[in-house]
Amino acid sequence: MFWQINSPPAGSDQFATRQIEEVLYEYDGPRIFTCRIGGLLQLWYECAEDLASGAKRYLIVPTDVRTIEKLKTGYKTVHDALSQAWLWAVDFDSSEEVIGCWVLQGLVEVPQGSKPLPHVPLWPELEPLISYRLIGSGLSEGTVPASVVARAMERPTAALKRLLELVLNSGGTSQGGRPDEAFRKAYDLPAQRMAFNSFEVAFALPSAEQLQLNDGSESLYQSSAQLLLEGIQWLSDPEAHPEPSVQLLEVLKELAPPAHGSVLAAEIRGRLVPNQSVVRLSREDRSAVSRAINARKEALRRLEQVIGRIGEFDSDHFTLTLREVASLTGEVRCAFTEEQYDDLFEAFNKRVQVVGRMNSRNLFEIIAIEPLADALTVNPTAPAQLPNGDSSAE
Amino acid sequence: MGFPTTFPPDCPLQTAIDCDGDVYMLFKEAVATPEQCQSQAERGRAASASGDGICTRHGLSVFPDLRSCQHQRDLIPHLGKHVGVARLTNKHGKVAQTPSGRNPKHMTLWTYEEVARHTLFSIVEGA
Repeated sequence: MFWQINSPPAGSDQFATRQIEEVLYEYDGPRIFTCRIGGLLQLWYECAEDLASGAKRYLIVPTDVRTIEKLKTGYKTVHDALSQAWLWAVDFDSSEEVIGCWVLQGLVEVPQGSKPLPHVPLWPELEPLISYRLIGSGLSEGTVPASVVARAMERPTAALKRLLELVLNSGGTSQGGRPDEAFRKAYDLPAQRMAFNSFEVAFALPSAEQLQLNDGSESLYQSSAQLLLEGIQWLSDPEAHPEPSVQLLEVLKELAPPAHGSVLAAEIRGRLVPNQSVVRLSREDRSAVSRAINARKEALRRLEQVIGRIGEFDSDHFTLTLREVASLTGEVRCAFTEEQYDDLFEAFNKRVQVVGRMNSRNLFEIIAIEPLADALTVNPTAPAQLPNGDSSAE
Repeated sequence: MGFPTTFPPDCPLQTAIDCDGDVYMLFKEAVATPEQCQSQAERGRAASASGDGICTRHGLSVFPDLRSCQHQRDLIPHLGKHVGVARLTNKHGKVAQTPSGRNPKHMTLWTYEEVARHTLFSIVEGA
């Protein structure tokens, strides 16, 4: 009926009259709940069910109020709570009579399909925004180097910061320079849980109080997840997907394992990763990302000349948009310095020739400006060219 | 189109609305079968119900989104490792949000008598 237990039977008197104190997860009846027996709190987890006979098997461990609170806040998973030196396995028939009771030497004696996955929180809304696991030989409790702990803490938030910048910049809102407080809070995530498997840190969605971004942080994270998906898809099949921007490549590089040291691979999961999936990044992935970044930066280093009309001027963010660019159908978004402000402002809505290079934010960084007289319009035989032949700066 | 005569009075619940969209459910087997699509009542587990439970046990427990269903699969694997989706219209029956205990996304689907529930579902994960 259920999986075979080889331990000798144990006394089951205490389970004969169970009284549920609190239901923690319900689906066609309580599946995870607490009972108080003899004044002591127990956590009950339904690990098997026989639909034909109506019999059920539970894993039962002693627990306390603090542990249950941690389950409800996502600081502990159900797997964490069940991970004790020993536990009971108790079978009940359809009339809730005990028909078997054993003591198991920990969750290791429970087959995979009869226990929760280690990272799964009690409720779906407690799922971390991102969980980052570093995998390598010798990474176990008591032997994790400080550098690995630091990497696990820093890299996911650094990657998220880059993702959020990418999302905000694509919406036309630059976050260049020192991030303001609201933006910082969007990526300075609360560490929700740490686990030694190999070494994993789960970061929760910041609380509503912490987030103060006006444009709806939920959609900001969803957009970030979509961008990350594009990067992951490219990594898994570079032939079938377009190469991501340098910024997105930098995100992947933040998350990839280092080229040397004890960490051999990194796994990411959580709300930022679509479809409840787990993405594993290897050292080969890191190499692929580095090669792509280097190739793109080589192209970015080349000086280019662009001629067009200044059609949009953002005095707050020191950016402008060149329109009617010779030989290009799109526009070129440019960044300029405070020293260039007056010259460019005076040339607003006029044609200019600028020299510069693309920066890592996909903006054409202006180095030199030359206003063009009306008579000196663009020579169509000398078209402007963007790195990689892109037709747009977007 | 009508609901089975075995349904109790005032069932589906008053909050139920015509089906219009996707619902998700776990399956133990890689193909949706009639046995896996039985309601609690059809499994003989309606007798002890009270309140709205008298009616919800005549329906099928489903989720409105893939993520909640995947979460359940990972939390209680014995409930099934295959995720099935049904794309429903008003021809299939009614559905209501029935958050139960601590399962806020839980929904109940009541299908019309002539609807073969297992034919509505296709396995989208774990097939």
